[in-house]
Amino acid sequence: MLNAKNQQPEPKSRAENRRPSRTARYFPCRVHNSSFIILRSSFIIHFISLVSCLFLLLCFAMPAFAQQPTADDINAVASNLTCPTCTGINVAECPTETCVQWRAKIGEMLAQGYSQPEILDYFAARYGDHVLQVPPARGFFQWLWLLPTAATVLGLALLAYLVRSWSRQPAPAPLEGEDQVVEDEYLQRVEQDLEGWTE
Amino acid sequence: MAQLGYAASLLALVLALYASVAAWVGSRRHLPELVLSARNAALAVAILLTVAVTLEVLLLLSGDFRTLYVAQVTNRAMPPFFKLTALWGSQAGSLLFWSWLMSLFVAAAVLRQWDRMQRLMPYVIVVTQITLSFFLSLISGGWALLAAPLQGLGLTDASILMADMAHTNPFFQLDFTPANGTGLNPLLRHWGMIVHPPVLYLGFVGFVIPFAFAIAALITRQTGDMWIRTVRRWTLVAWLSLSMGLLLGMWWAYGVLGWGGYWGWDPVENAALMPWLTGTAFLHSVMIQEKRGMFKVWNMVLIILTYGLVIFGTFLTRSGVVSSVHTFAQSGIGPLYLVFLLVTVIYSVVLLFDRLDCLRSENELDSILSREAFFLFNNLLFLAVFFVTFWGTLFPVVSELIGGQKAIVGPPFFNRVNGPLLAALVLLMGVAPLMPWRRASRQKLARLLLWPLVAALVTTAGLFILGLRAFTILPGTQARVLPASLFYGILAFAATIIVQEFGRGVRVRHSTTGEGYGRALCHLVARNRRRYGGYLVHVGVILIALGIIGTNFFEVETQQSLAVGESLTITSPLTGTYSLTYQGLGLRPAPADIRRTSATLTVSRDGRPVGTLYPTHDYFIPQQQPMTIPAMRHSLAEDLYVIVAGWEDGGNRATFKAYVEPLVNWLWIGGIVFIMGTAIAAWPAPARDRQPATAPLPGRPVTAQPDAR
Repeated sequence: MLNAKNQQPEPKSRAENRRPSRTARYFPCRVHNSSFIILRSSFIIHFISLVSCLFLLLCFAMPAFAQQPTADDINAVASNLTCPTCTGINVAECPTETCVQWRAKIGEMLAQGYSQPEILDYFAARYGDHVLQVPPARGFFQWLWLLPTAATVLGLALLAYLVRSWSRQPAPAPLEGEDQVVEDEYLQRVEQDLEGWTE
Repeated sequence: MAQLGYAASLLALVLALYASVAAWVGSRRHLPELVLSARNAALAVAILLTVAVTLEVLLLLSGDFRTLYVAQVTNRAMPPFFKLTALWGSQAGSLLFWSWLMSLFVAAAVLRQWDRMQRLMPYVIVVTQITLSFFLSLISGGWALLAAPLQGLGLTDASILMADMAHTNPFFQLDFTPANGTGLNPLLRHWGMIVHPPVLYLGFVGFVIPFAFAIAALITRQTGDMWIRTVRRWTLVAWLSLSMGLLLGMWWAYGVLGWGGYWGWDPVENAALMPWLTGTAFLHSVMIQEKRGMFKVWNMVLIILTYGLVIFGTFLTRSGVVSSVHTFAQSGIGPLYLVFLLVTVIYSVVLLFDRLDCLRSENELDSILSREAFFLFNNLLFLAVFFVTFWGTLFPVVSELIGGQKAIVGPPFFNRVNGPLLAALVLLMGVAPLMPWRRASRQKLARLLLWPLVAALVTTAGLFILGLRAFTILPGTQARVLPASLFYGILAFAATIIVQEFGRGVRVRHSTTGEGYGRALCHLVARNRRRYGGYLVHVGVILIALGIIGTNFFEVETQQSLAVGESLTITSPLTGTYSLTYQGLGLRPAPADIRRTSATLTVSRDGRPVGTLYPTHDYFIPQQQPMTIPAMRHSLAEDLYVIVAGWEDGGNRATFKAYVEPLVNWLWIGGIVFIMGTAIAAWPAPARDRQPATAPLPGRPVTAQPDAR
């Protein structure tokens, strides 16, 4: 009945299999217990257990998404990438097949514990800098930021200089009031009244 | 019928060329008959193009698929209304439509200003008719005539030129009659998109009038403020259309594209924004020339830049130089645009340099604390925003050409750089109206600024403290509270000043005339349309900024997949937690060429049911193109915006994207206020009030000789 062609494949993660609480999975209590038992056997086993203990501690310190990332987690990363096949749409919003695959890849990498910058670097290294929403600030790309900043600062400096050099000359005519140009008689009266009101 | 239409457009081209030559020669050789004949030719062009457009519309309505354009943009299933709007649905038709609008503008200007501007008019005709000829030559495929000799010279581009003719000529005939047409791009079947292009085009072509008068003023050395007074209303109308076009475009994007946003800093959006930015700078800086006779060169530069950007915008849209969702099919007419653009700009600049001697400033700047100085800063900021936008838009091209590296410049760049600049602009917008011409007294200024500053501080501090508490529930938003509070503080500052200005005026009128406050307000605005219309435009800008900041800083989104009966929750920063429960998916009645599938979601907020939403998925069968139609729940505080991203298992499970867009509706409300303000400022004064405008104003030196007598 409903056309299967229009369906967008499911994003990798589901709302319902969100990661269980980290503490339940990685609480190092049991590890300590076992290592305590092994302590009495050989040194090598002791060493191995220490390493595994450290490894598990490392897992504990891993980013929050070390389990199943949600669609929102994936979109947060994907919104920094640009769809490679269409124009100007970021990967989080893009419905094309490529972007669906990219989002799946991002999900995988998040699940493996990669951080957002690492994932972005991975895509940039693999497909080129133009898949990023904003090019990295190195090499020629620095000009993207430098030129507008320089132009604005220069413009401000030039303007400040001009205004200063102009306004240093003495005013040729009396200021405000008499010489004020007004649009019609009425407005002039309003302006005059305003003078009185504000003083 | 198609042949007749083609003949009309071809004849229009010939007459436009004739008009420009005749006007030039007639003016140089002092042959009034020839100038008059040029004028009539310009009017005839408008009539001929009206005939051509009417014929094209008839072709579209009757479904004459032998005409390539008709086959491209319509099909049998489309309702007549969409067939009509298909006139601007693609390259060829929009070119014709554009030329027609321009010819009408020119005809109106020629008829209205003929008696008053005898000296300038011939050159206005020259400039406008040359521009028109360029666009008409694209339609009639005149350039394809070059194809044969170019091919003889061994240039392969010639064949592209030939092929392009089919895509720029709306009357191009196929050798056969297709059974049915492709139909209009589904994205364009929304009434925002139906109104958006004509209004935007009106804004674009409208700038040809001030530009033509500026060039005419330069050529004839009538560089006083006469031309500026004449074109003030034309400029305002063009600017108003451009503003409305931009707003409608945003509204369309928000309602149709289904990503919860309204502005993506896409190259074509930027192409429409850039002339608006320089045009806005121009509107402000001409006031200085009108009042004080200063910055004449600068105003010329601004109008040339604005018009150049209009042509550049059409070039970007139609050439495929920068890839964008808006671009028409890639075509070879790009180089022609570029040549036309370069010729226009270079000629204007050379002419400007040659006439520098008659553009001397009549006055000096007296103080940095003056309206003149603040308008200059306003101009600088507008140009800075323009430059950032320009640079960001072209950077991918520049980077590939010079740096050899491909790059894409997305919204984060523009938001980060333009955001602070726009905030500074709003700040200036607040202070500038308090500044008198020439020089302000510090004490008076301090007194006027007291309450606005208090309002700004209270708003910033209040939002910062309240905001931090409210946002601890939403992860990742804490860092945004400070900049957002500052932005809102600036808005409160500017708003207080405007309210204060209205209050001052009303009070004065109340005490001098004894009118009630309501009546006093109406009369105040009616008698000083420019000033108070301008303030109203500023109020519109403040409201628009309210929405922009709200959505940019505090948008919330989530994507979840739900089985029937399951719910997703999304927490709004302003109102509460929405819970959306998926009830099922079903087919809904729709036009014959659309298969419409809607999901049903019941919505509750903090446990109380607030309604049902039907996010929809339309599949356009002839075009084989899917389209997601968002479902929205509007309120002044926010929009809840839901799309169905996909489904599986016959609809037992579906994926939804939900957004909360805080304050977004203030953007549209602000837009309406903005348009009303501009209309008030541009509204012609009754004839008796207009009388003094032709006489020199008291208190200012007269250098410009009105050329009518």
